[in-house]
Formats: sequence, C-alpha cells, structure tokens
Amino acid sequence: MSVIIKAENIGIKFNLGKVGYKKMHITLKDILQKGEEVRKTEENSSDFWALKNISFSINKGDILGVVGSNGSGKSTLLRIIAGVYSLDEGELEVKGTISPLLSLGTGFKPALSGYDNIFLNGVVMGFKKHEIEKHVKEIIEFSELGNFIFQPVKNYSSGMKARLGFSIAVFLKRDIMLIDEVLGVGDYKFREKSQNKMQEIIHSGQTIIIVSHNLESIKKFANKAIWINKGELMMAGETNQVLDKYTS
Amino acid sequence: MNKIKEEILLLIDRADLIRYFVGSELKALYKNKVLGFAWAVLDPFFVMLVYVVLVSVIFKRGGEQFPILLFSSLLPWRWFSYAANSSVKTFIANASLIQTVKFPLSIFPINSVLIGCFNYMVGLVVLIPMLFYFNANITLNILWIFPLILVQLIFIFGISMIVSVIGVYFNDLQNILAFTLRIGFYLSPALYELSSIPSEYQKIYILINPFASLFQTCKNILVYGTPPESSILIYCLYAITFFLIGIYLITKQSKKIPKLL
Repeated sequence: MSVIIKAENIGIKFNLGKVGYKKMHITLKDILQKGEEVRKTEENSSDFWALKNISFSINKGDILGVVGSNGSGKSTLLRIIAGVYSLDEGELEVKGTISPLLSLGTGFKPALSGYDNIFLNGVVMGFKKHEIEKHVKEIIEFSELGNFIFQPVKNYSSGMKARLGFSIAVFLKRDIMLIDEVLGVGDYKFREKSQNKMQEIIHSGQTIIIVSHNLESIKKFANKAIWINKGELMMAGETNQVLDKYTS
Repeated sequence: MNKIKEEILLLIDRADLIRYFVGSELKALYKNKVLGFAWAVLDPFFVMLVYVVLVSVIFKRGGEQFPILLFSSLLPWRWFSYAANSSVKTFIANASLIQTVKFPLSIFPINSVLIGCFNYMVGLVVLIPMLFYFNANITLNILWIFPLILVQLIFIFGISMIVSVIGVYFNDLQNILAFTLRIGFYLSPALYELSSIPSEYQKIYILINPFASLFQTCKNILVYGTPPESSILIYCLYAITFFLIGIYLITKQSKKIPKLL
C-alpha cells in the first residue's frame, strides 16, 4: 500500500486579534497609554492554534473519517489538505490530486441554469472543460433533475440543489476526495441511492477523507479514523476503536 | 520573480476557469433583464447623454464633436472604475470559494478586468457609427486602439490586484475608492480638453495623472485621426509599474489572505 497523504506534526495558527490597521491603531494608542507590556500581552493572546501536532498517514484506497466536536478544527484540517491554508508548523506530503467537495450550493450561480452550473462547478474544482463534458450526462441522469437542469438554480428546492451538488462531486473526482458533512442529501430515496453510490466509489479504491458528525456514516464507510479535540489529536487508528473512545 | 512567473503560468493553466467565471458573470449580469445584453450598450450611452445635456445643452460648451470626444475617454474610464470597484471586494465576496479550493488568487481581479474589457469592446462597437455621424477624421491611426487595449489591460489588472489585496486588510477602501474614482474622473481630461489646463501646469499634470495621456491618445486616434503622442509612454510606464507592484503583492500575500477572510 502506498502512502498518499502523510502529515507530520502539522499545526496552523490564526490571528484572532484585530488585523491590519485596527491592530496598529490599538497598539499605538495602548503604547502611548500603558507602554510596552500591553503590546506583549496583545500579541500573545491573539494567536490561536487551530490545529497543533497533528500526525497521521493515509494509504491509497483508505477512507479516513475525521470526528470531533464543533470547532475542533476538522474543517480546518480539510482546508489544509486541499491546499487552501498554508501550514505554520510541521510537514504535509500529498501525493496526488485533490477534489474538494464544495459544500452545498457553494459556487452555484443562482441566475444560471443547472447545466451551466455543472460546468462552472467543475472548472472551479480544477477540471478542464472536456473532462466535464465526458461526465455531464451521468451527472444529469444521477441527479434526477430531468428538464429542470435547464432552469435557473434559484428556482430549485434545497433538495434539488443538494442532489445536483452531490452528483457533480461523485462523478468529477480526483485521487483524493474531501467530503465535509454532505453525506445523505435529499429525500429518503435519493439518500439511499447516494449511499449506494458512495459504497460503489469506496469499492473502486478511491481515497476519501470524510468529516462528519454523523457517526453512523463514518462507521459505515471509513476504515481509519482520527479524533480531534480543540485542535489536538486525541486518537488515530481503526474506525471502531476511535469511535468507541470518542463516544465513551 | 520566480513566484510571479509561477502565478502567471497558473493563470494560463486555468484559462477554462477564467472563461467560465467571466462568461457566467456576464450571463448573470444581462440574462434576466428584458433588454438583456442591450444594457452593455445603453449603460455608457446614458451616462454620456447626461454629460452631453449638461455640457453641450446647458453650459453651451464643448463644441460639435463633444459627444464622441467624451465617449472615447468615458469608455476606458468605465472599464477602469468597474474593475477597481469590483476587485476591491472580490476576495471577500468569494470567500467561501477561496476557502474550499486552491486558486491562484489573481484569478479574481482578472475576472473583473475581463468583464470590464468586454463592456469596453461593446462600447467601442457603438462608438464607431457615432464617429461617422459626428464627422470624426477616421484614418488608419484608429488601429492604434488594439495595442492601447493591451496596455490598458495591464494597467487595470495591476491596479485591480493592488486594491484587491489592500481591500482584505482595510475594508474602508471600498468606500474610499468609490469616492476617489468619482473625483478622479473630473480630475482627468474627459469632459474637457488637455489644452484647457494652464500651459505651465500641463507637463506636470500629464506626469502625475496617467489618464491625461490615455484620454488624449484615445481622442487623438479615434476622433482626430492622428497618431498617439509620445506622452502615452507615461501611461505605459504606469501600467508596468502597477502591474509589477500588483502581482508582487498578490503572490506575497496569497498565503495569508485565505486565513484572513
């Protein structure tokens, strides 16, 4: 099994203090009033480590589930892997291309038709036009939107939007798929269909990283899991073991 | 320097994305209106009409060719101000996308620049019959418009990158810019001729205001049928400077910006 993602002690910090001129303004005023000490505390308290000392590795074909409570840094981790955030610490090695799953509706232009939005979403995700053309039929068919595909997306119900987003994501994929809380979209019937499709993708050897609060789906799909709490890695290992610890 | 080259190569690599961004933006802009695409023509036309009524009819100034003199400098100004005004908030407006997918960040300002460019070209198509109607001296010098478009592209792209980066750090720039652009238009020789500036100040005026030489050149090649004067080199110099500053800023800040949104 070849390692496709390897993270070693990665960490990322955000500056929660005021940024830019506001920060400047505060420090100037405070320095005038109280001197150096204020500026020191200001600097220290405004750094917030969203993730620290996270290490894990994923082989090709692994499905990694990421669990943790709200605000624990799960989505931040996905963004780091997608290459959106750059690291402040540690090393991350990604061997392969990544298709981030746009959270529902992100990147849709409401005034445009569903058909146009398939292409727009596809190129946003980094696909070339001819690559999208190859899959556009399957996407429309799977989404079950029928003639609605030529209607502006603003006329869609939220379920229809979700179906279209999901269909785009499962047909336009790269070496590593990133999924953030979008399993099980639409009505009961479509949910079943999408779960089956996910199973099919998993059996095809696709590498996937899933972030979800739905432990059932993580249990069902993932073979590995990591548990993050307040930016720190609590546990990494087999899905069942990690979930047992997490829920206990 | 390497990073700058990399950014440009990335932009070229994602040409499909730029095409779809610009195309969908234009579609969204014009599709759901009764007059649709005609607004690309009507918008600058009505602005011109307002000034023509004000200057030609009320103030009785400007001369017979005032409408085409004004229109030939109003179009490049509208391109510039549109791009700058929309670039300043572009990262904030596209925050959710930027935080999901890795982009060469300059893709967002270039979109605004190209949408403005499209409107500019449409404007030129409308200007041509007007040139005939108002008896402009149409010569082969009109072909200078093509290199001029390219230089403007570089100039506007540069400014757009600069304001887009600063706009992330300094939200007030949106308001300041809108105001500055309004004043900037009156400080540039669109509504009046360069020759109406007192002659002792003309040189310095051309030096500090790049739009002075740009507008003069537009009027020269489109209306008077004369070749561009050497003063256009000042505008070219500004273009290269802004472009280099802009692309330097955006590559330098591209790691920080996604975290700040």
